[in-house]
Amino acid sequence: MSNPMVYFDACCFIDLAKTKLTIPTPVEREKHIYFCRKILEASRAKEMAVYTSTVTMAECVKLQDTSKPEGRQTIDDERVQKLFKGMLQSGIGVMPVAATPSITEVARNLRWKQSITIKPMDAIHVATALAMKCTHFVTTDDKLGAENVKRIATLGLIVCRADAMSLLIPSKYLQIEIQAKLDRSAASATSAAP
Amino acid sequence: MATLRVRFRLNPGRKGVPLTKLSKQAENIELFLRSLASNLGEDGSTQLWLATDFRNGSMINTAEHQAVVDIDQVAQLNIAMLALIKFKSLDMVPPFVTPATLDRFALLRGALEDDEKLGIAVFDPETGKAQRWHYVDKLKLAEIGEAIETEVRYMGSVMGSTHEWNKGADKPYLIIRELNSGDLVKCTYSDADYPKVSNIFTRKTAIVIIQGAILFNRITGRSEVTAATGFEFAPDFPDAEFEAFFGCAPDLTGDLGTGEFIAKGRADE
Repeated sequence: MSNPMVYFDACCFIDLAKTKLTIPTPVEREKHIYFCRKILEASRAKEMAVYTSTVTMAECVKLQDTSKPEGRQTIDDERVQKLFKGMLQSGIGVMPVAATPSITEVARNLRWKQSITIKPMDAIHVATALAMKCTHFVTTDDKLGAENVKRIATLGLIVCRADAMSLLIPSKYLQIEIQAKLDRSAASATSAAP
Repeated sequence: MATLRVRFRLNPGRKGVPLTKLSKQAENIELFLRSLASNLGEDGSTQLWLATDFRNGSMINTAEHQAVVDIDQVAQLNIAMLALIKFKSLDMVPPFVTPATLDRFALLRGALEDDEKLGIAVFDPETGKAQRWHYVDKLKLAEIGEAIETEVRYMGSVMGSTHEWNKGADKPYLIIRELNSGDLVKCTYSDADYPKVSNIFTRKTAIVIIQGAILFNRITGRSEVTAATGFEFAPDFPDAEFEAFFGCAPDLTGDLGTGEFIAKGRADE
């Protein structure tokens, strides 16, 4: 049986880069972020496969908020840039997929032939996932719309958050965390003992 | 529940069918049906299409896929078959039918004579009865074959590990094991780039990125870099950096939530 094949939308990487938060991520996203990380760990060990479009790299940059120009900085930290480059372009754990003519044609046909009315950039992501024969499209983007999500599902691609696909993650990646929690509990119980 | 079935009539209006033609057409039909079954998400392996319900005359039989499928899939098969039989343009063909399947259908002309037709009938998904015969001939199948855009050319890149290098050929080339598909991709380059090519072979297991003019065959699904011009190592990403990624840019989206940030980037507001 082949490894589960999953597509990560750009928002997954952005959430992961923000995990140690100064600005809190909404609570309901925490489980999603946790499972995103576990999927990436499994993918690095070649037990799952994570794909993302090369356009993700262009989306993971700081935007200038024109409404609040004073509040914005660009990511000019070379270290952060290097980490993003490694995550998205190394081919280790995350497979970057170029938007080839075949993929852009599928993206166009989503609207023309499947009546899936999503934005062009979303269409590139969905088409890339379809081209790579991914079974799950991991995103927190609610703007795809319920009707579009249903239509995408008829093409064999489930749009979901990472926590909705926890059963696909090899159990050992989840057990390590449980074991660590047990170890921490045991350690705190020992230290609290008289 | 139902099965995928298509009825074929070979050599209509003539006595029997020459054995050579029968064997050739049986092989062509099987290859086409396997490809179409794959497009429908069914098993496209060998030995699954059975010829049944033979009738005397020219040569009539039903090809039946040996698996139980949902009735909707039978309807999809019928839609695809009728679109192929009545082909006028590629727009008529359902999107799940791949160029490879179209090509397989067009190749059914290989065993047809100039004035010969091939009869095809689909089955009603509800009643299970064979519907009326439709006929395609060599010209119609050739028209389909010509409509398929076999090759796509674009500027792009291939990512993978170095596999082989032939620097002595008339047009020197290297072969890359592509990362996503595992396919071997031939990358032809100019002799002037010899030092760059030499450099990417210095690290045996490194992942490299080759940029240049790419030729993609839509039927075989294979790519070839016909004029490679860029030869780079992909960035390394050791475990320590992987760990460091998480939380590396807590203020990436500023005051915006991730969803708002993405929406803004995709001009979605």
